[in-house]
Amino acid sequence: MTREDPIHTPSSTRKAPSIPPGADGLPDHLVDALDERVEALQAASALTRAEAVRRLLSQVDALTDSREGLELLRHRVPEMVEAGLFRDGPWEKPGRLVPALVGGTLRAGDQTTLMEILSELRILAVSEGRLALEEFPAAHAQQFLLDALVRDPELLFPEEEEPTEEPARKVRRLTDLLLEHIPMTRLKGALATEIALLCLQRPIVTDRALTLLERVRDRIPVQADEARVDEALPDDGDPEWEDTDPDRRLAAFLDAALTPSEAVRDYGAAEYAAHLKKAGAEVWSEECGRLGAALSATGLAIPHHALLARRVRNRPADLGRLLGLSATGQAELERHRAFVAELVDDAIHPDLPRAVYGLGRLLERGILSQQPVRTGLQRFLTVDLHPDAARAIRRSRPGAGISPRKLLLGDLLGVLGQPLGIGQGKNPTCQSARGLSLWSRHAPGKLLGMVRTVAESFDLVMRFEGQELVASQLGQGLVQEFDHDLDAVSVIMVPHLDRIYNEMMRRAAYRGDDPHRWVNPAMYGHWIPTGFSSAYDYATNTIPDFDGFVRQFFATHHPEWNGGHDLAYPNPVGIFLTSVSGDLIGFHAVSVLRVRKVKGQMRVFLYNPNGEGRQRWHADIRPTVAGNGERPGESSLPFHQFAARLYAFHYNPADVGPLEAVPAEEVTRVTELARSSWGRSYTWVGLPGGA
Amino acid sequence: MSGSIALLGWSLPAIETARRMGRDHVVVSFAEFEPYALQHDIPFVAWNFGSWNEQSNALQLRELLAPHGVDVAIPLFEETVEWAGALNSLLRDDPRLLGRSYLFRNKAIMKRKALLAGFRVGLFEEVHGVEQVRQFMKRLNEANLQLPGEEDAWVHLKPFSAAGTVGHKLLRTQADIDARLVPEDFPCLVESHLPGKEFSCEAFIHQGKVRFLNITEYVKLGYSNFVPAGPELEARRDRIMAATEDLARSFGIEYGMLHPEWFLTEDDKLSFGEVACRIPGGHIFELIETAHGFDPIEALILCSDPNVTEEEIAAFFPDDAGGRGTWAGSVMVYPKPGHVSRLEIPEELKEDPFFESHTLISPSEHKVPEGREGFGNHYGTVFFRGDDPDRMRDLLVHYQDTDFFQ
Repeated sequence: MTREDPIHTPSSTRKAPSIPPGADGLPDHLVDALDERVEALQAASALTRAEAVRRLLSQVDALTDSREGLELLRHRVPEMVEAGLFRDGPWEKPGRLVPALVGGTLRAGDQTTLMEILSELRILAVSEGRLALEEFPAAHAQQFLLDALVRDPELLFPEEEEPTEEPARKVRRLTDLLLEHIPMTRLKGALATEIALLCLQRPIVTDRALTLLERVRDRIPVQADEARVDEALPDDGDPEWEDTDPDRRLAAFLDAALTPSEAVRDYGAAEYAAHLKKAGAEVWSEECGRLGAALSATGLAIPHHALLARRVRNRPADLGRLLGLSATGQAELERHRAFVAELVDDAIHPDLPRAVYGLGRLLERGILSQQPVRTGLQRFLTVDLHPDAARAIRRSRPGAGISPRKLLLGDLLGVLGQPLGIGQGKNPTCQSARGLSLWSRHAPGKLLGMVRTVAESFDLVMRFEGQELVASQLGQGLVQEFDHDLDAVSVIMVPHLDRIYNEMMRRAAYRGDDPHRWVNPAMYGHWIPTGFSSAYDYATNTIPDFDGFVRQFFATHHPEWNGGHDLAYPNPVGIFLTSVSGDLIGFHAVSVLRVRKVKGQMRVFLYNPNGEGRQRWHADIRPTVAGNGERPGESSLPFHQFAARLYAFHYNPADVGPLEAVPAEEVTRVTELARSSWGRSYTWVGLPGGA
Repeated sequence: MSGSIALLGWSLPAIETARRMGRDHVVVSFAEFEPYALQHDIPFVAWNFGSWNEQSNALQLRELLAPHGVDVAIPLFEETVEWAGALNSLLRDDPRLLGRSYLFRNKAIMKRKALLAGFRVGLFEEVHGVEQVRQFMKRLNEANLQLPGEEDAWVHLKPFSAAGTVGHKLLRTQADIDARLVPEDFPCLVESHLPGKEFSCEAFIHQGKVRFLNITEYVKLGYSNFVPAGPELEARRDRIMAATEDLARSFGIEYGMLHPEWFLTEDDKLSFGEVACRIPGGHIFELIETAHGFDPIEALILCSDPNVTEEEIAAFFPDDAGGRGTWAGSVMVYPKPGHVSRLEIPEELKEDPFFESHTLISPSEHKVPEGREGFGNHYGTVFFRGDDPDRMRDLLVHYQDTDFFQ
């Protein structure tokens, strides 16, 4: 609404629009139209900005249809940002955006796609020093783009052929442009770190890591022999063990995971089987050494591992080498050699190679020597699957040629061998995953019984306060659309556990305290201690005594104030999740595994089934999975940060240290962190940080 | 420059303009807008324009506005016109202002007034039931000397006081009357079909004089129009100007704006359709801004205020109301039933040099476009601008029939 006429000035007298070199093929009217829309946005106040942005986006839509148009936008984006393009909207603060969500948002279509493209162009401008934003320096910007790309293989490595549909074409154009502006060395470094972190967690489901590696092998030129140094290694959580040469790091992963031996390099799966058959025991032994070392290093098994395991199933020394067993694991294998051979014969196939790694971890745990585990597993060799269970398992692994029963047994080896490798996929079922993990660690026999029940009847019965809850007779759980990208055990168990958990929560509601006080012991079992503390008062919707709550947590969990005790069992706790701006968005369940001092800092180690343990809890609270003494499957946070996210935990009333011994400054530090984020959604009673 | 202005009706662009002008203002609108107003520091008085009785009338509203020092009320939307008339009557101590505002709110009174002032109007009648409509069409047929087998005369049916095309029904046959009329239509106005090309004017009036006259060419009523009009209509500008001045004079309009709709035949006969005195629909204000380069809301505010000087008015408006070689047009998009799953913008539209922008959103986004209120419930608008009125007309014709939703 300016009196200046932006439109009708003859083009000869228009201030020469600066057209970047990459955009010089663009028709004048598109350049002019963008000018007009940007000027209209500049003139709009908060009242009409939404409309001005909408109309600007209609030209952005036209411009993102060509590479030249995208170049023009790349060039003009700083101006658009300053005109208020992102102001008061969800994209406003790039430091609070989550890189892992970029790919999904780009694919959302319509205006969401356009805004997300502009957001990436903005971040690129920051990384190149063409735009300065508060609290978002250039180094963060580049890291953001790298993270966004490597966390979404579909984005970084799209299908070879050009897409024909929108918004895929626009997204492809954006990716191509970003890749031209991001140094290849940095990208390789980020990929190597991503792969390393994925593997470090030792998840049961390894498809993501393997897909990423295969695409790197096919699409990224890796030259391990020329040592290049990535000068700008990121400082946020990258483990110390890193090689400084990203090519070497990638090459090491590629070799270990995809070509652990020359024979694997030379032969596809079918030929490898034939090759093994022809070759003698010496070759088998050597292959077991090579493939075993790779498996131990990465946790990633490929079809060749399964073929080799089948070949040497009756040769415990070779099998032990392939599975990477320690002396303990080897002894376990020797003791149950016949049964293990039977398991390999039945459940280990190239269609589900990850079972090889699961079997190794299972033997390391020594639980085959527990009679209920052995008998429990035995019964899966012959179990008749309920048709619905079989269908669900098939859906989770559509290409597999072996029977759903074999898939289930294969993944059972993983669930029992890697209790901390159980993930929840995209399902809101952290409680169920946490249950499976806890039972796998502390009650594997019970777990096997439950899985068999569900496999045979596709139903599950649990008790709650003297009454039986039959999953098939209950209403829906938290899951609306079930994500089948899970291990076969979770695929059949979670829908039932989810319903039962939901019903327990329903029955325990309106009792004037957090329902988890009653639900957790019933759901998980007698490992849950009887003491329970919650920060939140259900009756008044307030945080009544956070000070006391924090002291209680320190006095029960912090070794300096709880008498130096360790946790006996994982403690299921509830945490607050907040949005990028710190607002409360919901609750999440994790398990506290242990508390340890690392590098002079007390840290809480936990099991989080969401996002490979790397789920971000807040802009500044990001659990790490490496570099701070984490074991595979663990993530960790500084004690005070964890305490500030906590809303409920269990404890043993006999093990509480003196509450007054907890220093006031520790309590204040936690309280301030809590109040400034999720705490804003509640009324607080009592003096902040007061003793 | 004087006291504060009261903007009657909720319009974010109008509020933005008042702010930009530095005019003290208060917004009068329905209570549902109050939270937004509070949040954005917009001076606000909640008022239900739909309720006019002993407890809710202009005297009460004046009391509420008194603390804001209001001395001019400006109607933005149709249902606020008589409220503005009543308030201005009180503020200026001129009882006839209220009566004038009623001219705009009852189309039968409006047409009688126009007829008395000497304008060509269609044959019209106030009707209370279907039988009266049937008789009206029959009398028209008689006057047209209809022979057996010939078509019936077309009859337009309109509510007395709705904006634009709301509630408008075109009855082409006696059968239409039975098929399309419902008891809720009555009472209302029926009128004969006026021949000729329909267009509208936006006349900004200060001290009884038309200070700027824009002519808007309708391509399809309710769908598409452009500003300024093409050369055929602009060639009759003097004629149209004279008629509009005549209209302002006979309706006694001294301040504000008039938005009449006229019909012009090939043989130069000009007929009066109807007239409003609020922000026109069809995005005409946005088009005026693009084509003429001034903010028409600012023009409305200036012209509504008797204290604004002759010089200010003269300095504000551009000299050439016929335009400056740029035409601005819009197509309002209505989704066809059952075709609203996906938004599909044609490539050729995005590549067209005349394409300016659009406000269409995907049905999946579940949002109502935030535009100026009272523009109807279309799904968004496509805006064009360019230097050729004939090409503009062709584009509008093309895109008003394009299906943007698949």
